Amino acid sequence: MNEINPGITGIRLQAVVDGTEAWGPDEGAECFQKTAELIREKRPRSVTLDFEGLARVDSSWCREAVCALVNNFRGRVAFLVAGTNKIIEENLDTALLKQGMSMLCRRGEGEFVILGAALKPHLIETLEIAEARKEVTTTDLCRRMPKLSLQNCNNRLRQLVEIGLLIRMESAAVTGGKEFVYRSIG
Amino acid sequence: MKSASGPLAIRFPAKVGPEEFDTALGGYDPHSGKKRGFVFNLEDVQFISLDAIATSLCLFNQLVHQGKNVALDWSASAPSFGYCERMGYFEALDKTVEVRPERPASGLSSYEIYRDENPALLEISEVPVGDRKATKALVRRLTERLETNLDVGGNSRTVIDHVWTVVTELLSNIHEHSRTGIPGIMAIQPYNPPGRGKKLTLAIADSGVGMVTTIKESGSPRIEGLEDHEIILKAFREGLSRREPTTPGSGCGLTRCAEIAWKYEGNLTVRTMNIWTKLVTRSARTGISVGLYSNSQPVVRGTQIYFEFYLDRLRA
Repeated sequence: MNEINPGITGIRLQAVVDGTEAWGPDEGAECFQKTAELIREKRPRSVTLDFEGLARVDSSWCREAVCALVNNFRGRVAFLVAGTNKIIEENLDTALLKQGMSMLCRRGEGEFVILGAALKPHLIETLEIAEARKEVTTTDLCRRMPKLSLQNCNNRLRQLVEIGLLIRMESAAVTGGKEFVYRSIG
Repeated sequence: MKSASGPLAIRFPAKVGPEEFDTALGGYDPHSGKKRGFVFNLEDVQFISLDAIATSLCLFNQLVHQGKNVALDWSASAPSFGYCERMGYFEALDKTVEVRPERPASGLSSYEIYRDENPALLEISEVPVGDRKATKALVRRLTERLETNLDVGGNSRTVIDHVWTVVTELLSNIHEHSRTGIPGIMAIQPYNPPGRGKKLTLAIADSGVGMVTTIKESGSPRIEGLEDHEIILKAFREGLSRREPTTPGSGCGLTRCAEIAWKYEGNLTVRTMNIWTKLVTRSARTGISVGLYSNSQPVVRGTQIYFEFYLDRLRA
């Protein structure tokens, strides 16, 4: 098995599309092809889809360029979006919601929103802790939430990884064994 | 209305909205009927709504593409003639449709002379099916005109973004589902009637096989047992597409259009083949719902969508 680049890759979408506006499924599919090729080349663990410079994209474009990309690499690469504006967020939100997907949208230092399917309160709570710390282990989370069992904490973190909002990395435990570290994307 | 021989004569009344347009056709199906020629008399027409403009253009162009003869009796002194000339009606009307006594002279129509000069007017545009580059240019031109001319105070950018979204989603449908060489039609008209608030109306029309037909091709179990107007509602409320189930998330463009209609307490009227459905968004609780519908309209092929944005009612 090839070594996977644990790094973070940012893709500036304006460099991939024609102009400052992108719409329709055909154009979305073209964007998908180009970005998927880049990702296959670099093999990152997480990718920031940067919309900086794009004025507008519609939901049909998002379905092909973003949702299909996330689904294609699910389990191998985690994605977030950044550099968005109000209309981009609204249109992407609709595309994600239609497929029951959630995606993290960074809005500036430390600030984020979840686009698409809303997270349940307990997962938002957990994600906020992970985001604030940049990385947590199950043990870390349990210390912060003493009313929860280790199993519950583990489940929450696992769910966030499955949704695509955290990435799970293997690390050496202090005790000498192996442990999983849950990192914020980007 | 019917003559013993010769072309079928149809006279339109002073005010032509979608209902009056269909009433004038009197239940006759111009596509499948035996008549080879039609004379549509618009001499009495003083006002013609944007959706009736789009529907009439589609019908007249479709009929001549079928090899039928179409003539419009439309004196230049008729109140509606000047408005339609200025909107670019005759540029979008197939060249083989006869206009009597005469069409505006090529190069000398008020549309060609004054195009883009009036900030209150956004003319009719042809949507070239299958020509993505030309359609992108059309969308850019529309956005530039709106950015220059639309003034709704602090919400201008939001309104333009929403109009852009509705336009691109509906134009994508034309490219994807039209299956015809007949160009589509797009037209936008702002209104500011006294005491009723600013309104922007948008008509996007094609002459394809119709959205209900393409949705039915999917064979989706989600439409089993539904009547056609219910399929239209479901398409906008939940997203239905010809592409399901092979393309996850397909149909999200129509749900986005419905969301935007709701934001402006707007109405979304869909006319496709023999179906006319008006979707309304007055209820914040139920979102979009069927206000009125009819499944027995005279057939106009393809899909014509009429969108009304009430600019002063933008919901947060």
